Amino acid sequence: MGYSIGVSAYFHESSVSLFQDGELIEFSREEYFSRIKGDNNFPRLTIRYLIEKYDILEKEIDYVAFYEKPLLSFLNVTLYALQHFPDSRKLIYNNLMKIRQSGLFFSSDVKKYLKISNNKIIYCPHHLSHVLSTFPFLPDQEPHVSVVIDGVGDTSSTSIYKVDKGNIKFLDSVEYPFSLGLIYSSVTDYLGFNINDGEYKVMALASYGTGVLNKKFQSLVSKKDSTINLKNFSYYKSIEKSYTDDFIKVFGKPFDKLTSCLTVGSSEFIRATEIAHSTQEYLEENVVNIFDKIHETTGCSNFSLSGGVALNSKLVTKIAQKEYIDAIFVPPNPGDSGAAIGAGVFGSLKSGFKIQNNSSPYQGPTPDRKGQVDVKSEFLTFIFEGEDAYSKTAKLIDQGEILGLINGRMEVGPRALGHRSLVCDPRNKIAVDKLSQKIKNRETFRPLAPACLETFTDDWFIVSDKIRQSLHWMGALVQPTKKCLNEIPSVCHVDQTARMQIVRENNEPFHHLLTQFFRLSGIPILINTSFNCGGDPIVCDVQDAITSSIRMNINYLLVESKLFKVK
Amino acid sequence: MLKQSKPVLKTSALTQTEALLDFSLAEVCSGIEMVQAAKLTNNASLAAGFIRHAIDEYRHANIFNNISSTTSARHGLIGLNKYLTINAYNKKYIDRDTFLFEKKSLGRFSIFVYISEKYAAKHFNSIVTKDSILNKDEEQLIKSILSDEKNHINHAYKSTIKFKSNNKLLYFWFNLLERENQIRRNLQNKMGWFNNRVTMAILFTSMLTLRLLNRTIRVTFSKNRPHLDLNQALFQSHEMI
Repeated sequence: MGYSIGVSAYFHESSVSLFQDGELIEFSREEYFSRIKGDNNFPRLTIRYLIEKYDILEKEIDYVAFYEKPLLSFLNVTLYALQHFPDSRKLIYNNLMKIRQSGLFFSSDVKKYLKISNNKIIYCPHHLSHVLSTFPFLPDQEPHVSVVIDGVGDTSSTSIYKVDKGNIKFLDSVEYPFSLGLIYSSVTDYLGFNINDGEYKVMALASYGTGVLNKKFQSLVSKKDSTINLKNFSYYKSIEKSYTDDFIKVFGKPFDKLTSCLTVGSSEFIRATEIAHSTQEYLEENVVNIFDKIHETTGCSNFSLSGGVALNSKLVTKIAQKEYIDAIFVPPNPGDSGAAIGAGVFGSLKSGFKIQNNSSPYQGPTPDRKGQVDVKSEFLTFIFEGEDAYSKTAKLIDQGEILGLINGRMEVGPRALGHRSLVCDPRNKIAVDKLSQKIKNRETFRPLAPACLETFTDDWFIVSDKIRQSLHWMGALVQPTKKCLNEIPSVCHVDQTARMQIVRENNEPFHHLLTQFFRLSGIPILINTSFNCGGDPIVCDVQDAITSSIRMNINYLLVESKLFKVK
Repeated sequence: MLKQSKPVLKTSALTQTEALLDFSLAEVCSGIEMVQAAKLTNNASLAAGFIRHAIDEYRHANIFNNISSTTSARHGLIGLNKYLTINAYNKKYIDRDTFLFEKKSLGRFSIFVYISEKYAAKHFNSIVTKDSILNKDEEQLIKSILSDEKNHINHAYKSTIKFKSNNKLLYFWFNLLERENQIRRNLQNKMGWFNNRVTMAILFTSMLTLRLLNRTIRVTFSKNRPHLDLNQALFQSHEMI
């Protein structure tokens, strides 16, 4: 028996994957255990959890693989910043002061928690980790081109690889500081959202825009040779601000992070939507160009897309519209935390294992933790279990209740797929608004996503086969059918798209609940959003679910097929 | 609030709003510590108590955040931001290597909570007294937090008394240690500004030197590095570069 551990840490949210003989058996983010949103600390709690859960002996661990080449990564960013010294002094100062909390000390951090030798600690190039993160979830291993686009990884911001029968060959790259991901993040910052957290809000805002600023943005950001005009951005030399005064001269004063309140219809909202729209358009145009060029040179029509930019489901849908594309696959966790899965694959391959594909997107921790005391009786009243629990839950949803679901293993990706979700009736506008505004405290311009039974998907949504696989974890957008628009308009965004999840029969607890709700209402769809308070990680165990329910005023919880009322 | 934020030394709107944001982060971090304590204890009613305490702390954090947004808008302050919880490590509100309940026994944890909550109450008082930028409603909200904190102090006090009755000597020893810790953290807060400036000056000089060598270093380490195919990457997997 051989275990490989993949680790992503120190930059984005830390995470760990565990492979046994080439099969992904567990994945978790550190934030699920620490309860610190975006926790980028060395994932000590996750590692401890895995070692205890699987009773792993240190001699059974073949490799612990890190998701990047840390020295390369550190030197690349720091040395580039040095060229802009003294403007960049704070960025360099920050990098040097935090050097102990960087990948350069990965080996010593690992050895604090695992007694393993140096030769078991390995490093996978960052973008290769992203490519490999698709492997456990690919339904088959057709030859394809794997495109990675993110902020920066090691030295590149975009990389292209040819994947054929397990061989991965590097084709091309775009090097830092030219980075589509960082341009998008800079605008996120400008619009008053936090980088690495607010990009999806920019995507939601973009749908309201009309495109009046598109040309202006394009001419400001692009040089004549199609490269990025860096003089409008400062992400490569500043930690405080990622855009320059030149950018502000053109687009006006930046949106304040603490006081900005983007009310739909206000003049500031319209300004924000146009800037977001032009940024989204710029991203889409450039990424589609990359795909066009790859197709021209390789003739390939099967693709996978990973890296943080692949979380932009609007972009994925746009790429899929190109005629030459047969399929585009986005893994359930294409971002940096998912790169831990790629690192785990790297370790398994190094040990000589074949990677088992078609893994479930539910590989996280279960709700009940070994050694944790049961506090349910202190806070919850038991109502029903089994079949009765599901039919009662469906009835409660039909009556306008918003329920918390905590069933089985957690999702691998950032999106809740019914195992740690808050759900409500899509027909009930009051419930939908309450869930979005009061309970989740979301901005009014952001839509909620629908989850639909697989059998009925095509009755309610127009689904392209090119992206169908990624819809099991909300990897792309779909358009609603007329029936959907008429009966449940609340599942759609302003541009009449929906980030729909297809719920398969093997997704048992959630599929069962949707079926019960369909029997009662004739609607095979529920509104589904992540179970967490704003600013918190998604709930992991029963204690988290209880704490969050009380904080959010959720009245009912469905915990492992048992229905409870919150006292 | 278990974590020691900086006291409000000056009375400008900016300083006070920054202090409110800092309080908010400190409250969230205390909530997290309580959540962790609930996960680690093997006593169900104690765990329930920790969860209730955590819920209070999270609520306080929201209040502080909301008030800071309104005071910021009222005084035309720009460029401030809510602290993301991840700042907890940098501000040393949460230890990177261990949560409080992982390293402190229940008795010592109670003493720590008792001392910290008392200190927190003093801090909160400082923002509603002299030259406050808060309006009447906001002051009321802060007072409601103060009343919660008094409850927390009482709970912690009862727990410490129970501990004291079982082990007087250990109680005094832990009390001494926690008070010494409190003073040390206070001093670190005050010295932080000076330490930062000294470090910055040293780094500035080093960076100036590195800047001169930059071209050589860049060519050597970073430029024209070949991108690796899978097989090459597996072969060079022990290299950090």
